[in-house]
Amino acid sequence: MSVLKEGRHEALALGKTGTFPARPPSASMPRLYFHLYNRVGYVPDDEGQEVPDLDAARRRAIENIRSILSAEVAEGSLDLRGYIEIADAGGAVVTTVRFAEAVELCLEADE
Amino acid sequence: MIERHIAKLRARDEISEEEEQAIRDAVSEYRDYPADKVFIRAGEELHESTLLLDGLLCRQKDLSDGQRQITELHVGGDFADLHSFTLKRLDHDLMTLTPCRVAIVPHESLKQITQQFPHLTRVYWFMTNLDAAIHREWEVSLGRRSAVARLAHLFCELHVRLGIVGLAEGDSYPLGLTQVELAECLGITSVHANRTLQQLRSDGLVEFRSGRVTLLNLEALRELAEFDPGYLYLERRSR
Repeated sequence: MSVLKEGRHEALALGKTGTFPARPPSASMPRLYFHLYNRVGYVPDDEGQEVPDLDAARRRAIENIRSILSAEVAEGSLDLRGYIEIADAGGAVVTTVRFAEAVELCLEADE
Repeated sequence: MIERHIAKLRARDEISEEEEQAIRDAVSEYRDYPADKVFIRAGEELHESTLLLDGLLCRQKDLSDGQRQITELHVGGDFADLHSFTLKRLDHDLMTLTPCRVAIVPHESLKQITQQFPHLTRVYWFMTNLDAAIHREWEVSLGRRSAVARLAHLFCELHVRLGIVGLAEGDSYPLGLTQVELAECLGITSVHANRTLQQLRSDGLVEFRSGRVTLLNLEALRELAEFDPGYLYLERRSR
């Protein structure tokens, strides 16, 4: 279980007594889950995000990959073997976005 | 619940009973806001300040491409916009992150405090300076700290701030933030925030589950974050 998703559950539970009470779920958009597989291992997303459609979900995955890669590059490594699996609320994988899709890579100078 | 605000002030200075009464009398009404509500928009004319009693809210700025930066979190006891007393409009939005209970303090009442209570006025001046110090520390985080140190620093800061107002229990405190909101505090994306959190957890430093943060090794966490609580001005002294 992702720690963050459980965080939401607790927020619901705390709602009765209250320091940080519940927030109501929104039903307007489907909730998709962005599971990360990269060199540090598997990071499940059990909180999910509301995304209008699959194209938007893929764009969001790409933004996430760029955020992660830029931090890794800042520390001196670039490993494009990772990917983000986007799953629906039932756990079914709807699409996969590979790290390599998120960046344009030029390894040699143009002739 | 205004006690949290009084506790925050008393952590930094002596507040007389007369001053405490003046603060209580300055409140014109109490309001309850649902979560995720922008209750003050940047630019709108303001005649009152909002004092957060319970819940979690933030100062935020939106970019045209849909990105959002949370620039400060507010916990129970914080004035969210004491600075609107002199600015009269804000350059940022104020948004609830959880349901919030707030006290409304009209600027006219704050003006009366400045006229009748010079010491309390200095204490409130201190409070806006304290917000500026917190902003500077976030600036250092966003500009220079790694994502993991940034997150560690945020957890250390909230531990101290919630502790002052009685909302931390030992090395543990409630935090009703989603991973998207956490990412918006840290200037990264949500999956990146989730990964960063897992890094702190696998290093045995922090557990964040069930809406609750537990600092498993405060000393190591502070070292990783280079956290020095000096910028929170915890000295109790005459201002």
